[in-house]
Amino acid sequence: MSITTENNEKMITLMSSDGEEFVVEEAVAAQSQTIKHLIEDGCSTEGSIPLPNVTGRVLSEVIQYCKKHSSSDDKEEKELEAWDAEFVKAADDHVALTDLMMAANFLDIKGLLDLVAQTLANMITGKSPEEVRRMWNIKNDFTPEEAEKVRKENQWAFE
Amino acid sequence: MEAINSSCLPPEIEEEILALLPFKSIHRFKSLSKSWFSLLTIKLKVPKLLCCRRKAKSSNPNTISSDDQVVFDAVVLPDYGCDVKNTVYMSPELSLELSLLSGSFWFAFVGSCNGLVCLQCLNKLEIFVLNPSTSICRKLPRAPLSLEIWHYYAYGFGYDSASDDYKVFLAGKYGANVEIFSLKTGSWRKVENHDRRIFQNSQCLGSMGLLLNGALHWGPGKSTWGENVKIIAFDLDKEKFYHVPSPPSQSPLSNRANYSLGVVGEYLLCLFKNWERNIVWVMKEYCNEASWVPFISYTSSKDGKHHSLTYVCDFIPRSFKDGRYMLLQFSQEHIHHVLIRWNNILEESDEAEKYSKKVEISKYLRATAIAYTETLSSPYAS
Repeated sequence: MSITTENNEKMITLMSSDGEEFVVEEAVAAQSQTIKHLIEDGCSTEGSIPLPNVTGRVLSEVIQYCKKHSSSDDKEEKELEAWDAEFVKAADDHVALTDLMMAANFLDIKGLLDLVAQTLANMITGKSPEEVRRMWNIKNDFTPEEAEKVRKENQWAFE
Repeated sequence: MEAINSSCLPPEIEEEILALLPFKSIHRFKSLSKSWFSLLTIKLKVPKLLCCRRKAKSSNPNTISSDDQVVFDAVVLPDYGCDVKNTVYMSPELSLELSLLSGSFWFAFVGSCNGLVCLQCLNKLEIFVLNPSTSICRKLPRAPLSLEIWHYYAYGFGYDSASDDYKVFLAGKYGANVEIFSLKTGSWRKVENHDRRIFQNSQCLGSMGLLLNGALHWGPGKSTWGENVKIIAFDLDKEKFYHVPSPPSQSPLSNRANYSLGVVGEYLLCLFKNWERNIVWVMKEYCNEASWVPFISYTSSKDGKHHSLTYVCDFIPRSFKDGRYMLLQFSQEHIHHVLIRWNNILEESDEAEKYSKKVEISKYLRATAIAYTETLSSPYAS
């Protein structure tokens, strides 16, 4: 559906995987290259844009980010950095951040992708391999001998 | 399509995160799983950029004031086609240490080799060799008095495989005095019996030597009346100077031209610039004058504004599939960087321009950068 507000901002509707609808300004949604291309191809005029692999919870966070970043210009860079820091802090844990990063990847929002990737990288930097495996259910597929060998070669990194 | 299951780390974002890990974590996580082992092993081969920039205290980033801080960032170069957002993953302690040492003054890079970066503090005549990956920094003893001028005339840093040693090269005015510092012996040594006026006509004052074929190379610098200028090289093993032919003389219009150098892979580049054109020449066969060919060229003046080109580094993007690139810096009103694909350097190709892509490395004025790879090399011994 294409609605126009009083100040002539074109609005578009985004629909999450669980059927939740979000009405946002086109300029906000176009922060996503994926959505921008859909709009350019005329996919938005026939109703809402379905986003089949983003849940409503994640989508609302993404929209929050896009709103902030479409309304700020370069002069507010410092303020924006502080806002970004608070934003990822609010996402709370690595599961929420992983979801957010997947959505940023799918929607092609470069700024958000970089932000979350850096946050996750910082999060695991000081952790042990065991802790990281537990975070994302990664299976240790080394044989005990192989594992011992790799660990020995990189022993200095554990100190 | 199903909603994303968050209990795992999908491969499409896994690489993005791994690219941002610091060196030590990369080594620790190699034991995590086989797929992480192979991904991280590839990651280690990708060069990073060490950027040194002024952080302005004033709100206008283009105004230089004496209160400005010098800030170091380690940057992951982008995949071809995307912009860089500054990624700081150098240890904050090292960054702080370097910034404190530099005070409010300016650093210049001396060179980069096998994961070690050599830099100098211009006002204090101090030289450091550091490994940005392991955060080990070595301050070298003061260079001999014979070199003590405000600014070293020519300098460089490289590895000499014959002696398995890293060497810092410094030349005083016109090259009258040349001193070498060996990381192995930890001392300075004078280079004897060389042409004391080697740099006299070259005007490459304050320039960094580029390492290629075991030798450092300095650009011919300015050419005032179109005379044929020479590239000066210094063999790090034999400790002897020699000349490398420069690209053929340009038309009479080339008076007031400037030449600088670059190295991509095994090729020497020469960046020619005058009021009209910027031309990047490549020497297809080392020391063969006839093998210089123009690779890419740009117009110097746009809307009457001067703009010039300098070489920054050679690098392979995160995804290896797409070949090799060189990073060039344009100075106009603002500085911007352009990535140019060069894996087709030996082909006769006019397509180079097509492959160039603007990237943003730093919004700040006068950011300088040098590429390095992450290694365990120590600045203390080789």
